[in-house]
Amino acid sequence: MVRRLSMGAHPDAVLGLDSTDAAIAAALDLSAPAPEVAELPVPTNRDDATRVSDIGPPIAWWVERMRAPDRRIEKHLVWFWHDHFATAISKVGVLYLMMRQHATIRAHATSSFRDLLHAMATDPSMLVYLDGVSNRAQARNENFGRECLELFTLGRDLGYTQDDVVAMSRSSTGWLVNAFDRPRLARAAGAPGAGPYDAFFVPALHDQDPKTLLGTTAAPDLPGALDVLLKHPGTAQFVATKLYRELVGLDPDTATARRLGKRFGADYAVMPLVEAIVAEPALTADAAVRARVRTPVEKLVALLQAVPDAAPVSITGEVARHPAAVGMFGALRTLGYVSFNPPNVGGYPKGTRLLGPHQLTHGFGLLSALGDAAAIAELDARDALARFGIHDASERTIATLERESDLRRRFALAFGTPEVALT
Amino acid sequence: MTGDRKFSDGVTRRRFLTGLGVAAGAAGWLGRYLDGTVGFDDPLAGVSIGPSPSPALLGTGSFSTSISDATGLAPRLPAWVGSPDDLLAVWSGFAPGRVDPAALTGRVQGAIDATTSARHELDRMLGEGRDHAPSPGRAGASRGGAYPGGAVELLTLAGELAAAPDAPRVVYVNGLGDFDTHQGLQQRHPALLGAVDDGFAVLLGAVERAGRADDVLVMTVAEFGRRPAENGGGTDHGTAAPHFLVGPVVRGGRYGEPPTLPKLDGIGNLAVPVDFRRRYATALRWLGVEPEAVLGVDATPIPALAR
Repeated sequence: MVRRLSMGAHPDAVLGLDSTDAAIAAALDLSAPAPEVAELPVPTNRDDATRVSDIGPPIAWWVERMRAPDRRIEKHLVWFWHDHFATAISKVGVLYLMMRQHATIRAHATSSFRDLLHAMATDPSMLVYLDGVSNRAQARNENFGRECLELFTLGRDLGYTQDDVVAMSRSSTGWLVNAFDRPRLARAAGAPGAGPYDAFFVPALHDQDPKTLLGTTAAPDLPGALDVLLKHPGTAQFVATKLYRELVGLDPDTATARRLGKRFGADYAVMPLVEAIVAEPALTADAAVRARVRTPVEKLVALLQAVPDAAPVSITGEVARHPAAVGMFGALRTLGYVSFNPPNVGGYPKGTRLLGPHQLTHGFGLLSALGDAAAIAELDARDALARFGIHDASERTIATLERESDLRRRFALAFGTPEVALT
Repeated sequence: MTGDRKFSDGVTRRRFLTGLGVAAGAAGWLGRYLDGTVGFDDPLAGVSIGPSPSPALLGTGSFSTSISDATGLAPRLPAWVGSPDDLLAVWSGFAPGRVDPAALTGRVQGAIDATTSARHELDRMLGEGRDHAPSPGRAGASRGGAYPGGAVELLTLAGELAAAPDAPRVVYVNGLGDFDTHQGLQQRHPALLGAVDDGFAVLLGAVERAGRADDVLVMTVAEFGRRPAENGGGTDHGTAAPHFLVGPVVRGGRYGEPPTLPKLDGIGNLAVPVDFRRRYATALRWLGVEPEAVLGVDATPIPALAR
């Protein structure tokens, strides 16, 4: 429960738990204050705005947030929504915007999917990433409209057509981002209050004609169209199923998916959905044990939690030069798991795609994040595995670990066991 | 990229990597080829040379592997862990001889086994390929030396893989130099192309010595070209650029009409005589699949291949 409902394994928190229910309750406890997201200064010129080499500190900050033991479910949900609404700095190009998006995701991660969807649809990073800024009544760009249906709301194969993609795209026309070449446009559009890099709406670029979206004919603006999608039962079911798969590790049966979807669709409140999922017997059934492949980011966080003496990777301002941080970023990059930079709109690679030779080999590169040997405690095989939240390793795993006599190297091997590869 | 009026690197890059007219996210064009042919069965069917697998090679139903140098598939480890070989030798013990593929734990154990094999296989390829490599100091030493870690080094690695008996189906070399020549174009461009030329010589020499020259097609790709007008010592991003198909299997010549300077589009771009997906189609046909099945559009291969 501790592993599934948070990021990493929080080995020290486990010690204080005496039952599954206690573990669930502790994971869902959001009473500790929410972390403040460091706001980056608003860029004052294009060169400052597009310098993305400073991405190290925000990533390291996020990793340290995941390492900490408070608000455990939030850690998982923030990552889940980042992956769901995948947006990459490789295209957005403005770190300031990516951090704004991150703050927005955090603000809604545990509260309302409805609010989150609305916020993402006009989020400046998203408008750039999925070409919303070039989607106009006069020249339609269907990138956002298509992905919004396929990835954000209804999901593939859940009853929409190319006509719906067109209708959604037409409904989302007219949004721009106030980058440095836009202030005149913002003034002309009657949005003089739009600050640097704010999104703003230009009625003249919006397709005002009626369109039929999922059987509803109207002339909706973007929020109106999103509400049509939210009203469709497919949206609630798709998102609820995805979160179920994430937390339980298996697909829900059809009846469960319908039931959870119906419940979620009533108000799109996130935590009640999480509570409904964790109340499912499937979560604690044997079939759910080691049913999911741990992602590199889950493994990295587990590694840092396993070694409390390892220095924070967020050594402010020095991240780029710190060998541990350099090694960590190198490994994340080669694994395709750089935060704020998913490889594509489908998000980060997941599942058995993470079990290829490239991923398994370079997974060991994450050990760099621990820094030098001083932080590594010399533990026997079972204690080393316990640091990763593994208490039921196979005899083969233990015997293989014990073949390595250097205890620090044994710890490195424990990180590479089949048990740690799964959750 | 006919009809595309966007030149920001990110936008064109995604179209370019997926090969899809309307970027529908997910897999790269060669990743989709791997998905539909080898699947998860051969993790070395697509190998990138660079720090991570090229997005063009990323599929949803296949693995891809990347190597940065001749050490092959090896993690960078902190000093206290010791050498990758020593670590991974013990690690292979987590996989028993026979595993239960129905259970996910069995899949992981099988994957540990497959990883051990793939590492050895890569080392063997790099070793045997090296037997066919030219003696040091020949091609590329002079011009290539100006770009350490550049075209010649990368193409030498590619040549070693391509010359091996069980060569990967696709070797994708990332970054043959910084061709984004806004400045100093007259000096940089000849040097950049010279390094690529030297690298091709090394690559083709290696496969020829291995008796595999007729099995190898070399193709260049890039997500943008340059505009012809000068903008202060260089040129700006544009829609078109010349590209190469190289190898004994290629019928030499120029394919596509040469660009006409008086016929630029409204913002100074050369007309695009050959859509980039026709090059993809050429490579896919060479690899033995129907281009349309991968690209989703009917792109005609360039009629340049002898078979």
